[in-house]
Amino acid sequence: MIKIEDLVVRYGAVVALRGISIEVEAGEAVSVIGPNGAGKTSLMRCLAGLIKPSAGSIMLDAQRIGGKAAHIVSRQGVVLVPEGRAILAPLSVKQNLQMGGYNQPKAEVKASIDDMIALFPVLGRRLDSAGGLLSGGEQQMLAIARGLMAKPRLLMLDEPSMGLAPKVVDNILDALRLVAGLGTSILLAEQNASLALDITERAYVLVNGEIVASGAAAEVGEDLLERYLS
Amino acid sequence: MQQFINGLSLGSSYALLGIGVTLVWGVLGILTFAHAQTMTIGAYAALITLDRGYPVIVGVIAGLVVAGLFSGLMDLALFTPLRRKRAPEFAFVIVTIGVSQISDAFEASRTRSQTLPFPRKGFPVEPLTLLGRNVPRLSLVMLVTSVIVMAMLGYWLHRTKSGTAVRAVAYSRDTGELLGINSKWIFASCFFISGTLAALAGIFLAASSGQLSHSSNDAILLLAFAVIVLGGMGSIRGAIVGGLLLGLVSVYATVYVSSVFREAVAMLTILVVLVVRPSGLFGEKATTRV
Repeated sequence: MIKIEDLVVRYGAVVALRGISIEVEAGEAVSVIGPNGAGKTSLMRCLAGLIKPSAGSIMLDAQRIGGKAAHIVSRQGVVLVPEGRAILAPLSVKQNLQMGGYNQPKAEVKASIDDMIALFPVLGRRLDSAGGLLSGGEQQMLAIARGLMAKPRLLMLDEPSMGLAPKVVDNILDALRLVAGLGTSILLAEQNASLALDITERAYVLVNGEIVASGAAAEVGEDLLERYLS
Repeated sequence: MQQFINGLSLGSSYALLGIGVTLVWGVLGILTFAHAQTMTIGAYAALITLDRGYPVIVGVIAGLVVAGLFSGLMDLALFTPLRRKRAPEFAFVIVTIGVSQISDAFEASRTRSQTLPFPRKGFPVEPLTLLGRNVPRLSLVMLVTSVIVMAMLGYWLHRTKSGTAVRAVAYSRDTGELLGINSKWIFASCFFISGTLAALAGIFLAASSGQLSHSSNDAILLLAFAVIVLGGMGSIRGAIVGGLLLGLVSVYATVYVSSVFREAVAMLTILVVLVVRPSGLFGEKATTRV
C-alpha cells in the first residue's frame, strides 16, 4: 500500500536518512526499530509531509505523496501520531478529537468520538478537560484516538511508549492490536524493540540513517537487535 | 456621562484595533507593525468610494474588503514563504515594518502628504439626547459594533470548527497540518479578518474626526499593542476590556489633567496593571509550550 524507495532526508549538511526503502502492505503492522538518533523521527515526519525528502520516492498505491504538504498527506489517509504526542494543550479533549476528524463529515465525527471513548474509556471521563491537563498516558491515548479520528489507511506512531509506565504501555498496545485487527495498517517507530516486535508482523532495523536488517518479527533475531541497539 | 461615552467610544476603536492585532499577534504569534497602515488603507478605500457618491454602507464594505485583502495578501505573499523556511520571529516583525513604511510612502505620495476631508454625510454623526445629555450617535454605533464583533469573534474561535482549527494551528502549525488542516489558508483568513477589523476602526476614527491623512493612525499602533498587553495576550475579551479602559483613561486624562499627558496617563495605567498582573487582565499565566 505504501512504498518508500531510496528515501534520503538531509538537514543542511547533516544526512538523517541515507536512501532507505520500506514497504507496508494493506492491513499489515510493521515496525521500524532503532536507537536514539537513528532517523526514526525524520522518517516519520518525512512520510507525514512535515519534511521534504531530498531524494527518493514515497508512493501511496499509485499516488506519489513524497513532498506533498502534510495536510494533503493526512487527507490521503496517512496519519502520524507524532513523537511527544503533540496534544493541543489549550483545546479540550473533545476538541482535540474533533480536530482529528477535521476532514470527516460532521455526523461521522460524532460517531467516531463514541468509538474512541469505547477504545479509551478514560478519555470519555475527561472530554471537557484541557488536553494539556491530562497525564502522559492519557495524552498518548488522546493522540492515538485523535489520529484514528481521521479514519487513516496507515496509522504511523512515533515512540508511543516513550516515558510511560509499563501498565499504561500495555493499555496502549492492546488498543493498537485492536486497531490493527480492524484492518488499519500500522507503521510503528520504536526504540523498545521487544515491545515493537510484540505487536508487529515485520520489522526494519534502522541504524544511523540506514536499514541494516529487516524481516518477519520472529526472524529479526534478538542477537541482531542487541548488536545494534545495545 | 458625556466623557464616559466619549471614552467608551474612543476605547471601542482601540478595542476593534486591538482585537485585530490580537488575532495575528496573540493568537498566531506575529507582531504586525503594518496594522496602522492597514487601517489607513481601509479608510482611504472608504473615502474614495464615498467621494464617488456611493452610500455609506458601500463605502464601509469597500474599506473592509480592501484592507482585508491587503492584509491577507501580505500573509500569502510574504509570511507564507517565511513560515515555510521556519524563519525566526524577528524576521516577521521586520517584514511588517517594511510593509508599513512602503505603504505609508505610497499613501503619502498619492495624497501629496495632505490631510483629506473624510465625507461624513450618511454617517450617524448627529448628536443623540440620552438621559438629558448630548451623546454623539457615532460613538454609540462604534461601541455597539465593537461589542457585536467581539462576541462574534469569540464565538467563532471557541465554538465553531474553523475557529477551533485556528486555535489548533496557532498552538502548533505542524500538529494542525498533521490533522489535515491547511494552515496556509488559516493564517491568510485570520489576516483577512484582522485587516477588516482594522479598517472598521480606521473608518470610525476618520468619520468621527472628519479627516484622514497617511499618518493619521501612526500613534494608534502603539496603543493597540498596549491594549493587548493590558488585556492579556491572545484574549479577545482582554483586548476589548483593555481597549475600553484605555479609551476611558485617555479621555479622563485629557479632561482632568491635560491633553499633553493623555498618552502618558494611559501608559501609566498599563504599567500599574502589569506590575500587579504581569499576564494582563485576562491573560492566562505564562505557559511554556512543550
